[in-house]
Amino acid sequence: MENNAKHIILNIKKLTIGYSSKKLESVVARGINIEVNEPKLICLVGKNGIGKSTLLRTLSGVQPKLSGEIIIRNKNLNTYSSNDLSRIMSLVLTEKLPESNLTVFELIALGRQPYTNWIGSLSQTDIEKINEAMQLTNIEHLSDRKYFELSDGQLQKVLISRALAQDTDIIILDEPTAHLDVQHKMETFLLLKELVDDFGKTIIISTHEIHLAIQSANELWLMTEDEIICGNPQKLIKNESIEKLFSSDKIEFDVKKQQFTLK
Amino acid sequence: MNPQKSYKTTFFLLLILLVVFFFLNISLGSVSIPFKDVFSSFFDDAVNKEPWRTIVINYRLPKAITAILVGAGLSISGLLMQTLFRNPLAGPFVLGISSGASLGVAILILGASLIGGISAFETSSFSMAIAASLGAFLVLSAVLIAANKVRNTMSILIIGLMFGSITSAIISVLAYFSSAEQLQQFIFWGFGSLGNLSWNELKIFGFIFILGVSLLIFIIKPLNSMLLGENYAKSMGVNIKKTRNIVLIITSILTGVITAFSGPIAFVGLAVPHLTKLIFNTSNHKILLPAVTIVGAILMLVADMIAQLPTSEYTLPINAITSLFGAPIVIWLLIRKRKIFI
Repeated sequence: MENNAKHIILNIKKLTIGYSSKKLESVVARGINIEVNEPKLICLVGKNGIGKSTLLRTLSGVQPKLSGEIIIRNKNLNTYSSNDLSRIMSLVLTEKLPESNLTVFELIALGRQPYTNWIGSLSQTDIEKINEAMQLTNIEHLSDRKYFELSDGQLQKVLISRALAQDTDIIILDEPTAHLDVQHKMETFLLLKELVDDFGKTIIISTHEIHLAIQSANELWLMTEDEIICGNPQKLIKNESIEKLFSSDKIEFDVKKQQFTLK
Repeated sequence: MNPQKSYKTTFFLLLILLVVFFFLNISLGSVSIPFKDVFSSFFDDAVNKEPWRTIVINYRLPKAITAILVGAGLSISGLLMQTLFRNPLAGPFVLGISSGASLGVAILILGASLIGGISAFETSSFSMAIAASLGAFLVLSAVLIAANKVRNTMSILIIGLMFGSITSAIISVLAYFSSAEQLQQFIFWGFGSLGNLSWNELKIFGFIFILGVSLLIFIIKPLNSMLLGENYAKSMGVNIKKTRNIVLIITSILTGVITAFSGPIAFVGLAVPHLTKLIFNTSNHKILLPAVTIVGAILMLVADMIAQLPTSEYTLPINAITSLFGAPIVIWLLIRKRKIFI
């Protein structure tokens, strides 16, 4: 299996995403074709409202697709039971957590639920996985704190830890750096890159940090009104695809600085 | 490291409290019976006056057990509602579920005169339980459907209150058309009462109660993931629909049967989970579910002792007691600076 030349992790065929109700269907994006065959850090970039979250929500099964196919590890997403899927893919969402009394440890331990028994007792393996996840994100010292006491940066690490404890090949993160300062943003990108390089995970994130994405991602998905352009960051800079991200004539992409600047 | 506290000592102390209040509750009443004789009544030992044994065994003991079932059941329902709606102010009463159960009973007692056919049914305790459960289930489903349309938790509470008003209005209309006798029966039922249950009725009560509570084993784990919201829960393998339906069924069974036998009892379902969370300081349902069961039972025993007005002939309506004590607790929870949690 490992040596299989084409081990498909994610294959998206003619996918149309959006929202449908009884009366009308509002399409956010159509005709998406993407293939991921090896562990990668993938950064999905695009302007506000272009449909990044919708795409990620559809890929993670939170939201139904309108048409097309999503194949994860050679199997159609629709045919997964939620329990099977939970052992392959974990999520870090942007939504605010409901206020509860969970400690950091308990929150991360919830990530082990796909593996625990009916009452959720933690085995030795579970506890090891949880501790490992906390070590990777450097939050062991927070273990007994209540999660609502944490800063945004700490909470983000806890949520990433929870996803790690879930022990999945694929992790999808929706704007994981949205509320973080520069240092925490960079640390988050570094951590995600480390997880891809050292643990062979496939990580898909949506982000507005184009500069950081170019530096750390193996692949960018540029989401524009017409299409999603995929490719290696440097290649996308060279063929000027990245310029298509924003349509304003007041900003331009500075190739040397690898970021958008005001004209 | 100590990943998960077991709270053994707290549980142990609470259980002792429960036993103490259970016996205190049985010892107190309009007729004063010495402790010694209360105990002897349980066994075949000689009791000073034989009627005392009857009072203890056939009146006080069923009442104390009813108090435990009512307190435990309402508290469990409250906790489930708070987690399901991710709202610390949810509870069987606030969300109109108790009103739904009342509506079921009202239709049974009062509606009998309107629709001649139904009067064929005896208003037996079993039919009351079914009517109340159906009413509770109906309102809870309606609230849940509405809750799916609006994501805002405030709106859900308001919708619950509105359903409560609608059911009250229907009850008023029914009351207008019913006879004084039926009305009296319904009003007395509405005061709430833990007594009046025969051993046979208590058996039915206990059976339905255990039926509802035993379903809890299917949802302890999913409930914990629900603490992070539905999307996270789903991503961790939880079948949301199934979990929600089981919560729905448990809550309507428990609230229904309790309301049928003891009347609509307010505030216990809302206040007990919060008191318990103050004691246990956790959101883990593996701890909280047994904890609210015990705390709810203790509080109901205490409320019943207060309602009994020891040594006096009067028994205050239990509903008044729980509201008198429950409402200030809720107000206190809200104005306290600390956050309240689901």
